[in-house]
Amino acid sequence: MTPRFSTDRLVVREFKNKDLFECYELFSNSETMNLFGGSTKNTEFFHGDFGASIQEETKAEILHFWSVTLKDENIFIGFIRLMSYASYYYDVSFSSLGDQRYSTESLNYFDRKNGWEIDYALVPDMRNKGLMREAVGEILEFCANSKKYPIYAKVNSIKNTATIKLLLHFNFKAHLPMIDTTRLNLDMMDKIFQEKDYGMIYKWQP
Amino acid sequence: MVVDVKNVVHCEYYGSVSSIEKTRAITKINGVINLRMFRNPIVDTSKKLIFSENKEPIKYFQKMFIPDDLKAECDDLYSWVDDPDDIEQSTAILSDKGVRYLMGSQLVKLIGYLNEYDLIQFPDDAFFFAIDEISKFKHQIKKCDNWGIEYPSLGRKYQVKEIIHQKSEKEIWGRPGILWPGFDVRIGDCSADNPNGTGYLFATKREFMPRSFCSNESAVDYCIKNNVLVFYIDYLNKAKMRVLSPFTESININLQNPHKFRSSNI
Repeated sequence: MTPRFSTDRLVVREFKNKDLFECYELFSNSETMNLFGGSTKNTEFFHGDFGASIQEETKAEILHFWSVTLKDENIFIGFIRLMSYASYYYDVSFSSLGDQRYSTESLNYFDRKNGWEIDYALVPDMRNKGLMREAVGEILEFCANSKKYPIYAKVNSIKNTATIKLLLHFNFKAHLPMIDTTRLNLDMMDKIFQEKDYGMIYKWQP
Repeated sequence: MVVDVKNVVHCEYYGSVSSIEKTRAITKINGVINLRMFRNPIVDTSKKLIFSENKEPIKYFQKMFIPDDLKAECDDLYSWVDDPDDIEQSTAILSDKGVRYLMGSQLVKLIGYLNEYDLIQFPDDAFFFAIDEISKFKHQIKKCDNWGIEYPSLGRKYQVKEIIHQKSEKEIWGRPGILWPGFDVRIGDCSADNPNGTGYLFATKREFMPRSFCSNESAVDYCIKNNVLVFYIDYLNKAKMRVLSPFTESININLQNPHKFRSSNI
């Protein structure tokens, strides 16, 4: 079950099919997907039964998917997901590593048994208002109480200062840099770090 | 006899000619309150609470419509939603006969539980809906963007997407059609009864545009006139995102669906 939370300005509740159009707006927005990671979606976003698959995975205890809504207006403004690493989500998250993701070294960095990955997105005009901070605070409290940790958060670019500020506020720690493996040669490393052209995986536990 | 087919709407279940006045509220419900299990119940219709001698007060959503042939089995039932401030609701045009069938086919599944439970809660992955008169809810009278007629609305329902290009190809029952690269929507009219059908592929613009339509019939007419697809969350089909297209009528004729303006699965 995905619990419901209420803050001063928000209701954070399970995803409902009525959120589909607004959720699509997020996934089809190139600026949002640039920050979030992944390609922008067109109507293929609706293929299958998005709501039903969320319910199935919630029942299987490998996913929590919250819609973030404005309390006064009941409007969907974003979402937060928690995805269990004890599921295919680990493979999806680290597919770029190939078989390396099962190596002892990788598994020293990531707790496949207990770990969860968090990600979230807000519609553009609701950003920089502290709304996601309110919502994430509730989710992390839920994680602490239900012993769902460690939590990992991937930030695709360390230029995304708003997300990093939020994570650091909740005591996430920089865990492992993420560098585009196609550019991973020594000549490029200086340039990558100088231009801050890399991401970071953060880790949290209470 | 000459029938004026302009602006004709149909029951979304039986496909019989109906009217805009038969626009009903369809609400996803999470359970049913069974009044039979309450001792000396008092129903406070202003606060929507049921009081009794043997149970805690319980909040209900609406008194449920029970078809005549189930009244002996069901007594009084009240729909229950777990989040009354944030309900999932839309509209559909349904004849009285359609309402009777759709409510009856859901309620008949509950009969075995009615002597045991005061609240029959549905599992999250089950989809039950209540059909109510729209007048029971705060609604607006809107003007249809296509036909220009007034109709009752519970909020934004339809969204339009422009078709950039499209193609059709033969489809054979049992062989899933492919959504070829460059296309983002595929619908078809293949079924066991129509094994040699047609698949329709569309490449659409990314943006949705909200439009107000009084009915699926008006939306399909708009699709034909403007070369667009119309999307909506179809509560008569498990609240899935489904689509209307310029081909909706012929697709449903080939599928032998009684309702010729039924949305297609995507």
